[in-house]
Amino acid sequence: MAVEGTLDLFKLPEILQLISQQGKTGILTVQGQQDIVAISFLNGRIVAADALNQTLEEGLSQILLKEGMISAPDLGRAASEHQSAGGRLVDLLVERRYIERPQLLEALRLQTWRLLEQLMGWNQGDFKFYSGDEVSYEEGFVPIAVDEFLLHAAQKAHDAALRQGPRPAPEPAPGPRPAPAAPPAGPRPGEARPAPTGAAAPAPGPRPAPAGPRPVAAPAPAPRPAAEEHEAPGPFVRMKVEPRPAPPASLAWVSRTLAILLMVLAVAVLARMPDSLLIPFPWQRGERDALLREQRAALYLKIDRAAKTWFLLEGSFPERLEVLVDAGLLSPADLRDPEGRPLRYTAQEESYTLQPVEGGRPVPGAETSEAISGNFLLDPEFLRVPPESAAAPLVLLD
Amino acid sequence: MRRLAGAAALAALLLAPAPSGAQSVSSPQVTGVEMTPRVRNTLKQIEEQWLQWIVQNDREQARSAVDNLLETARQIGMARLPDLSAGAVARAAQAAREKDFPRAHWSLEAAERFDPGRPETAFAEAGVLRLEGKYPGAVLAWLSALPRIFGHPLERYILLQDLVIWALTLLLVTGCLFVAVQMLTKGTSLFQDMVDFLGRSLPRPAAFVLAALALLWPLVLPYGPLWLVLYWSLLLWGYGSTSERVVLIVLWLLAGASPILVGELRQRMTVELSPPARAMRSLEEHRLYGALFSDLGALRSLLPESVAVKHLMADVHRSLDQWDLARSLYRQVLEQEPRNTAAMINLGAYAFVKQDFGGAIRSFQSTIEIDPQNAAAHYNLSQAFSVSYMFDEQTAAMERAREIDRERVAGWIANPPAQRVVTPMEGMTRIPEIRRQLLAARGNGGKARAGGLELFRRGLPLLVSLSLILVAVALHLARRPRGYTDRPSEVFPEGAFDRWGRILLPGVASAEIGEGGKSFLAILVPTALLMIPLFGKVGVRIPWRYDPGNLASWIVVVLGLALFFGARLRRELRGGV
Repeated sequence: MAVEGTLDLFKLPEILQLISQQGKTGILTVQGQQDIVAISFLNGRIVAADALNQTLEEGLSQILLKEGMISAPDLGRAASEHQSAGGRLVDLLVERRYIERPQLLEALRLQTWRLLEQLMGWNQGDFKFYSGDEVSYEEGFVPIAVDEFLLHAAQKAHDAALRQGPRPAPEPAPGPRPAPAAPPAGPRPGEARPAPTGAAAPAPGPRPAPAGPRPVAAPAPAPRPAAEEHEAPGPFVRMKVEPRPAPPASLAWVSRTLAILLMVLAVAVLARMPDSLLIPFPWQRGERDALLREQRAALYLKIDRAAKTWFLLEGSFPERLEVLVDAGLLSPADLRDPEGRPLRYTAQEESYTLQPVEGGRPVPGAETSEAISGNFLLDPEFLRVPPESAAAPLVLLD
Repeated sequence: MRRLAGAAALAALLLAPAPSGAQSVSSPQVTGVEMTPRVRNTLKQIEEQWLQWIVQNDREQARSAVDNLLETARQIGMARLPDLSAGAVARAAQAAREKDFPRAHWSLEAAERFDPGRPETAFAEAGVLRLEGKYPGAVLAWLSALPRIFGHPLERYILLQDLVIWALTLLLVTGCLFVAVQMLTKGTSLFQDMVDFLGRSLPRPAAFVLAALALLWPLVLPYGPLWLVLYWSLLLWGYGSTSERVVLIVLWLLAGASPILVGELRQRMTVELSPPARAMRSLEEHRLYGALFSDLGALRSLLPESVAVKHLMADVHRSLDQWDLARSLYRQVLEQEPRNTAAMINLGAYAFVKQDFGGAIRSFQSTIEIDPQNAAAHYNLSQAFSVSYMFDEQTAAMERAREIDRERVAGWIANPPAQRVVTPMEGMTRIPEIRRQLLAARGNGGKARAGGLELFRRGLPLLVSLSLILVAVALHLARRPRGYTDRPSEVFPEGAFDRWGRILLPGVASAEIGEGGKSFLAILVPTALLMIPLFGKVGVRIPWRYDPGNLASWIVVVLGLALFFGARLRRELRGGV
């Protein structure tokens, strides 16, 4: 199940609030002109965010350097080890003790926060929310409450407006006025904080290297399989990212209109010219005509049998073909030729004529004429035996 | 039939046996084949007895009239009277409409005796019982008609041909709808890609209009809908999953192969429906219908030089007891096939019938020289020796016949042939050969411009299909580096219509997840049900002598659709299609 729309219709804060208020779990993808961002929600709170144009490693590395959590040489060393060892860089950083896991989680939270802030600046694009039961996120990640984020974002926008002078401030996100200078970061390592559903709260202080990677690998509901897909790096190990974004929903009418057009054409061809389906190519007109002739011959045979059965009982051909329908010898469909044209029937004493009519005019070359001649049950001439007396001598009596 | 009368007269000059007894033999221009007064009197008797049956109001007397008719027909080697059966069926239907149900029933009984096992009789019985208010009986009678259809070669042949044509049409219609569903699920992406491509060098509104024109231009071509389907399937091929691509390829090949297959079927059908072929089928089944002899005359005019036709006509004359006419034709057969032992034996039988026993013995001995293992020749020889008082030779010939085929000889002794001598009917066994000759003659008539060009023209549809595959693959390879715009995940907007759309538009849900085979099958089932009433329309109408109507097929359609969509609804309510 998915909810989708454009940012013209719903602003991002409204979307985030809606998901938060309903306590939804799933992935919100926002496709802008430059990038696609995927935000994971667990019970209405944000637990991860990822962008197509920047991998998790790239974003995390920038945060770690900027925040002084790791030195540039260490990061370079870790990166080269990562290239040779494979796996995830974030796990390698913790395993090799370049950083502690709480630091990693803090950096991830900060990165997610920054990405969300960037997203607040988008005014155009499409969004789609894939609802599900589970999403992937880094174990121990402290979820970001949407209200908390929106309050902070609104305050930041307000401050920016004040700094820029008398211009009106951008419309703040709905909700209560933000508390001044709400800290964006989550609790510091060692502080008590709520753990995400199903995950234990991290132990205080530096921890030994974890036994292994710990993303909660339960996948978000994949939209659906595609012909060619690429797996995105980062914690969303099973979230698929398409090579090119899906078209906007506003274009859906195009496919619907074209599909309906084709369905109508198919039904019309079947009803009017079924032979064109079997022998479809333009240069096969001769074959199509031959097939129609054959179908017409079979129909004429059926009518002939019916008319002669009538003659057998009544001694004459019926005045109208409808009489044969009433007698159960023909069906109403038999009164039209294979091309759907009505048949003109003209009965005479010993013969009848059938001819399809189109626009009130008989169709040349499609007529038939049948007679009783040659039928020993109907034709008196057939059984006329020369009288025996014809050869008898003439005897004159005087 | 009449069209062939002139040709029949011409052929009669070539084929007509030397008249003997002569002045009273009918002209083939009137009767199709020459007839002696005795045969014409027999036919006249049938006509008169039929008139007696019509005016009967008493069941027993009507039954007696039927007995007389069948007995008369047997005198000329016939066992069934299909025209009279059709007349009796029509009379039964008329009586039922007038609420004269006893008469309706004994008319149906007569119809069944005139031509046993006809499906029309069972269909008419169903109609009579329905008018009588006996609905269970009507249903049973209708059902009993179905196996009867397969008991009659012409009806069975047409039915099977119709089935092939109907199935082809069904697959092609389903193919069109499959492409429509593909357009429904992937058309937006296709359109978006076209707009993006054109938008590189054009303003977006112009790109939009041009993309629409680029999709619809095949409609302006002759046979536009066909080209539109092929063109769209080509464009959508790259967007499909593997199974969807396979389905499209199969459909292209089917579109290319169907004209060739239909062309073959049509030629055979033309022959089967022709008066000569109907006459030959009737002869095989000893069915005497009103125009039988005229239709045989048409056969002679179509294949005037055919030895097989001469042999068949000779057998027909012999079975009508027109020995003089038969002898002339057997001689013509022997001129072209000197080792034709069947014709030789029948010439011996002619001599035997004419009491020329010496001639008969010579004929049978000549046969034995050619085929020493011919039991009939030895048996006939023993009969000829017997009437010539040459009993030692008779005993020896009989012994030899028994040595060759004891069982058949015992049968001839137990049920002696009418003329004491055995007369093989090998002309009848040559009917398949004649049918092939008719097919070849008709084919040659239509293939005046045969040759390499004609062969190319006939095979062109298949070449078009193969070209489509190549173009689709090339287009895909060219486009792949640029990628395809993803299709929207769901065709129907979420909401109440979402569910109903999935139920009522089969194939869409499977197409959304790229299951081509399932999508095709989901479209195929309801399309097949809806096309059942079109069975006779897309193919060739079966020339029933009593129309069974279309009520049953509509019942099947309604029940089938109710079951199909009911099952889909149930599945959707349980958790999604």
